[in-house]
Amino acid sequence: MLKKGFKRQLPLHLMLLPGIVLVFIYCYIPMVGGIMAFQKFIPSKGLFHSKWVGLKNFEYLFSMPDFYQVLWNTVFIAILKIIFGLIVPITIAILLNEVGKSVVKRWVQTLIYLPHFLSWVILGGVLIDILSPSYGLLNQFLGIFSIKPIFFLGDNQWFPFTIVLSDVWKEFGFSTIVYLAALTAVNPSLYEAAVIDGANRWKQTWNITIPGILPIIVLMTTLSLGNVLNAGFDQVFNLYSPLVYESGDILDTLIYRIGLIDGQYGVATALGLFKSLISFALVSISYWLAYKIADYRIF
Amino acid sequence: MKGKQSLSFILSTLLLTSVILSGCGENKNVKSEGASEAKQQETTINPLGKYDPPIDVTAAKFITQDVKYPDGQSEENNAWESLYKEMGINLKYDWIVKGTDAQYFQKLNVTIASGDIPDLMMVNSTQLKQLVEADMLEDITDAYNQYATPEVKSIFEKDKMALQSAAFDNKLYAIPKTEPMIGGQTPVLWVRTDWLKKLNLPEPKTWEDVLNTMKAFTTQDPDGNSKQDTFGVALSKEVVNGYPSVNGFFNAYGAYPRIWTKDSSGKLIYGSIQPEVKTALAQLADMYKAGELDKEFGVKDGSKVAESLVNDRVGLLFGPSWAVQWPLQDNKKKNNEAEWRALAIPSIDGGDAAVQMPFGASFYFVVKKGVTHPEIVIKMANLFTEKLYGQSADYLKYGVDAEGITTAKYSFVDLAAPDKDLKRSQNVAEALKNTDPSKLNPEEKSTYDKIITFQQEGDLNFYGETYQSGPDGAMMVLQKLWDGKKIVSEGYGGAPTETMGEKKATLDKMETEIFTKIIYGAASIDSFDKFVEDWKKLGGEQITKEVNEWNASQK
Amino acid sequence: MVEGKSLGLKLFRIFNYTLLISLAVVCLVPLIHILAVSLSSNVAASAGIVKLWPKDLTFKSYAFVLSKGEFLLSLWISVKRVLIGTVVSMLLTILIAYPLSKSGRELKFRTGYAWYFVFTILFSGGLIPWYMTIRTTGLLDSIWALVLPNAVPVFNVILLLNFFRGLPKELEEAAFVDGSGYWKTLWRIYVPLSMPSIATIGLFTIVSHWNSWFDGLILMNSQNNYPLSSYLQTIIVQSSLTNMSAEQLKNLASVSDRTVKSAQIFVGALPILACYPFLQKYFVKGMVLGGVKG
Repeated sequence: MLKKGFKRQLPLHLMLLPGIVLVFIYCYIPMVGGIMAFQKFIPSKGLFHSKWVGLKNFEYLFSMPDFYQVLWNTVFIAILKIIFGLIVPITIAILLNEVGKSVVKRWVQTLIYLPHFLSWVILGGVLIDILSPSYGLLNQFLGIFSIKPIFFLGDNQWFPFTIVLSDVWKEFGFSTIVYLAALTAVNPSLYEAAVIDGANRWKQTWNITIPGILPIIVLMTTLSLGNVLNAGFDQVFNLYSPLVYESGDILDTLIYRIGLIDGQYGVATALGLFKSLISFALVSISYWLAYKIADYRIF
Repeated sequence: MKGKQSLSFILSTLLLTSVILSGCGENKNVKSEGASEAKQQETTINPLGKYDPPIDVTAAKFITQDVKYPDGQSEENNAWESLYKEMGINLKYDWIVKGTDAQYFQKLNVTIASGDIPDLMMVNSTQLKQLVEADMLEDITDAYNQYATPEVKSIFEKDKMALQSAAFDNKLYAIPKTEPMIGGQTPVLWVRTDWLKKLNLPEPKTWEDVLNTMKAFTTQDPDGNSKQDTFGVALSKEVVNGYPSVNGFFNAYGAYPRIWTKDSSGKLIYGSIQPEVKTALAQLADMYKAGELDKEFGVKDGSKVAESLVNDRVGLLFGPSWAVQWPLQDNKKKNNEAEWRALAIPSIDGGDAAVQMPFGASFYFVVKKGVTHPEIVIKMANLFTEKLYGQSADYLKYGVDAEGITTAKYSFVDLAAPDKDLKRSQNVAEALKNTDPSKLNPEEKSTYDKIITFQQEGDLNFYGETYQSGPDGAMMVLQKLWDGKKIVSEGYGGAPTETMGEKKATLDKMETEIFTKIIYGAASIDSFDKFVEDWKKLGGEQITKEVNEWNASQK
Repeated sequence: MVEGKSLGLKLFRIFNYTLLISLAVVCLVPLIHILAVSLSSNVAASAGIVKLWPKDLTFKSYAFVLSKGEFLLSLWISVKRVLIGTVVSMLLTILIAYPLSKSGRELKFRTGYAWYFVFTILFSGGLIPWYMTIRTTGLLDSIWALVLPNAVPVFNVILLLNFFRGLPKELEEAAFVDGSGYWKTLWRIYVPLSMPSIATIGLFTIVSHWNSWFDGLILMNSQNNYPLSSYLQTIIVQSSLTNMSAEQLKNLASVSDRTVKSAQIFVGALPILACYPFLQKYFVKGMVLGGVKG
């Protein structure tokens, strides 16, 4: 009986096979490198002859004088990015959906996806101009409402928000795509039925659209939780400065500077492992919660 | 239970593969070590001799972003590659990185870690030290003594510390890639002289003059647009060691940030924590308050600051000799009235300030252990000096070609005498005076021609060259300082010490952060004292100890 | 009542259009800026006075870029990479997502399999062992080094499996009754019915292949094999200025020529920007088209 069942399942297992093999070779085998977290890794000695140092790399990391400040900055920026990185694209997707079929929809869709393709090295220079307190466009605009010029990139109070908002601006168009795709899967007959029932636009949105794309929203939320310690190296690296180290220095930039001086692979790997464990825990918990509460398997 | 089992299965499989992986690395090393025993003694030693039969050599190569090739040539087919072939050297590149040095060293690190290094490569000081400790490099002491030409040896005579930094236990493991840092990174004071004239100011001779000039450039509207939109001096967010940085400004106060200098007893001390720094910072903080610095300098990098310079917003810059090539030349092109001249930085105690210069070698050419002809790296160095400046020199072919493309960059090994740029300026000035370029070497001749072109045709593409290397240029100012022993060079030339590896990043961050804050007025000037204390406590003291141990070992 | 509703609707429409259009404009600004810089003279660009309109209009930098062998070569490598990489990745994504969209009863170890893949998003061994594995499997310096090691985009797999789950079960059951097996069902029913999501994932795959630069830098042994993004990375990132000679810095300054950089960025972005409008048509039609066929 069981054998027969398995035979029936066999095609499914076979479909998985090539992927499993590739992932094993190129993802699992390299994970051996995780042992570097417990070594004083020196390239010329290689992975298996470098000195073992136990938990010293972790101790080093956690005892750095600014570690907790940096950790806090990272989490603060990352969480804000996660929240806005979810809300904004979902909202925009729904608003775009309301536009109907027109040319406007196509153009808007295409244009908001542009910034995703520009690297932070390039955008960094542009942002310094736009956000400048003395001649920047944004401050000139705020000046109309008699708001005093704000030093967005140089003021510790503003810097984390500048990072979050500029990131949302760069990525929201691209993230919107997922939700737009999800929206196409919502059954149109549901809307027709709702209209007959006399439900207005808001009601339709709340009762049909959002529940329709809820699985994708839950999925995206869960996966983005994995980023709770990733505040975005490229972006911060290109926008921060000694003025805002206090609020803008994040784990990745910290490691980058350590590595510059002495290629500290051990410490970098230790940090990587620490980040992975936290992400793993968060993703597992939300996976488990969704299963327990809604009997729903996210993946 | 089941989960645990599968996990342990995965683990053991992983370990198995890892053994295999390490296995391959191992084998290669053993093989090459065996080969080293079969070292051949050549009967005759000919520093520029060719190999017959030809030898195969593998190499990794770094090409900087700016390298260009004449039509039909490429990284593997050019003047130098042909020369190597003629000399019986079959260079085979395992890989080539054309990009930034960081990108090259990243690739080199993974290559080293995978145990598969080429015969010849360029490494940085950390890698040099680690490779020597792992016994992966060939000792080239004998080869150097036997093969190096007098020209090559004379370069290292002039910069003894460079060669010393490549030696471990009195054995030489590398040829340092020496750079003429005097023209590269030693600050002078660049001034907009047309602004001076406009405001009836004297050429700043004393530090007092410099401060007054900064004030005047800020408040007296030197660009004449009736707007208060200029400031005194250019500064970037990397206040120390950046471009532009405060280094030259600090030097006026006898402060030498980020380098190790010798005190009266010959011990090395760290420049950034000396009391002179505090005085200089206090002055900068005052200037910031008075609006003499760009309010936004703290977020601007070098190219952003360059915009201000090109755009007629700043009239003073503490910068290297080449600043006039970029970005000041662009300023001249944009606004033909602009005139930039280099002056010696005046000291607060009168006279010229002694200015700081970084260590002359950051990269090293090394030979893998077991290579049968370790002298090859020295022969390549010989070839470089010979083909550019020696008897059989052909500068147009191997140096800079007729179209101005620097072909010298295709050479695998390159090195330069520390005073090369100074010499050139001297000779060019002499030739210009006598209008007789016949004694110039080809490199000097090309500078000479550019200056003549600028003087006669006003070609602004050579404005920079003229005021960097010409008779009124920055190099002449630096020559004066050089002759007067007013150059303070970096005293530490070793690889980062152990504590540096662990703590320097933190300490450097602390330093730039507090310096910036003090200038911005966000921290009181007295927080400098706390910084010094913290610096010592958080590893600085230990680093000082290690640096001095190295210093003692160098004698 | 009816009047109020339509007024509210009208107001909402106005608000909606204004918001979306102004967002679109805000997103367009940097690209226009880059275009303007690429069409300006060098001096104007390095003075930073070019904003949204070119100063001293010139097409010099485009002439230079388009005659530049290395730029065109790397563009071709990128196109090759995207074509091969997308085909391979999409095949694998579909093949993995389909079984995983089944319930645990239909596929034994389903949850185990799923976590096997998800785990690789969360943990990695770092650069060095990754490089060593790719070297050991002999892929270095070939286009496959850019394709195979990340041929399974796990994020996309999860997305697609969720989309697959959303399809009505009845369709599949009907197919089974007709005697189709899993393979047939997948290609005849699931794939055609999921065109919007497959287009989405295809776009993600294309974009990620187009954008990744790091693997090209590390895994390719010469610039001739760099994809465009790696090549651009080598020209737009600045070397640290501290270790250079005067000669080098001088030359660097001459290539740090912003107009040429901007032209390369602009030309380099065009192909990928053109992809999206093309794929957009699947976003609307997908369901209807599939419905008719099914």
